[in-house]
Amino acid sequence: MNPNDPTPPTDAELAAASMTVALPQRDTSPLRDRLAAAASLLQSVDKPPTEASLIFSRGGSAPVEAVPIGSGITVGRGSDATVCLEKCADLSRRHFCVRPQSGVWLLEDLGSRNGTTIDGADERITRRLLKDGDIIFAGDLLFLFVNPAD
Amino acid sequence: MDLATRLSLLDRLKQASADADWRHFYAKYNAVILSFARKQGADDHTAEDVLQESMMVVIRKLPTFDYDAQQGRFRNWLLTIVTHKVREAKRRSHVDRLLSMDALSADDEDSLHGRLAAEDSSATENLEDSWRQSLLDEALRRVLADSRTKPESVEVFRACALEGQPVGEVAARFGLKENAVYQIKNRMMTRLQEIVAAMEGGQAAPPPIAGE
Repeated sequence: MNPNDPTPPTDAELAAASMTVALPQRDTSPLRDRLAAAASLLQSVDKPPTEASLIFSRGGSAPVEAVPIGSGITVGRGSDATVCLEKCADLSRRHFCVRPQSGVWLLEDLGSRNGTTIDGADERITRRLLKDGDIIFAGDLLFLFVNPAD
Repeated sequence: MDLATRLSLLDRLKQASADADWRHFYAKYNAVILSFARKQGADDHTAEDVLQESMMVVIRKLPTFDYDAQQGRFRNWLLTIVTHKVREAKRRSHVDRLLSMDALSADDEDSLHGRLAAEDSSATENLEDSWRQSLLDEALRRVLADSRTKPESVEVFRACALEGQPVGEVAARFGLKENAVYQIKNRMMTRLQEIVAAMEGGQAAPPPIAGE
């Protein structure tokens, strides 16, 4: 249906559409809210990432940072964590990690005390494949996973 | 972190992009993308993943995308993004299932690639048709939900265009002349085409409708 050459829908297409159009529309507003948060973080980062990264702020007036994941990163308040957030008391020393696995990105909770959740759901995760735009909650911080190369 | 804290964190961030272009894009295309993903074999959950990942691309690219360059370009751009995201979501879903069995061997990976390639070749045959049908689904939903359309016109259109009832029978049922039934059908068809053409071209939406 090119606007330069508008082709009217056929009877078969209309009939097919009429069978699907009565279905209830899925409520995607929680997704829209997460996208709004993602857009805001992407706007706030100095240089938009060009590879899989976590975007977050250390809280307060701290700037938004983007950390490339590369071959894998750990996040926690311990000094041995790749992303060390020592002032975040609700984070475990090694809270969660993200690493590549078989061409996808895997998030694992590292046995943290307060747990890791995704996209605002209550369920604590132990392991989850990530997709572009997922929001990870840990401690009192949130981390946006982005994968612009995909 | 409790739910209230999570919502508060999200709320603070989402205020910052309240008027962004991507929101208009989302309002226009989210149902089309979900519908297209389902037609490519995605379940509801996977379709929403496709929508999320497609929107992330849009959020990054939309500020620099030139709508006026070529009308056909927008359709191709969007279709390419969504098709790719459907493929990625399927791949992730397969890997997820294999990982849940705890070991992903080289044989598993080979088998995964083979299966995905086979699925791709069958799915891509009708991409254009699926996209057109998804646009039509959404256009029809908008036309039928448009509060400016008389309920009788909707019923007449349903009967003659969607359910295939003879015009004579529809006219008699609604106490109309046959010519009036044809006019209603033609008006609604024109409206459908306008909405689909606007969505295909990435143009400004036709006049707003209820619920949008």
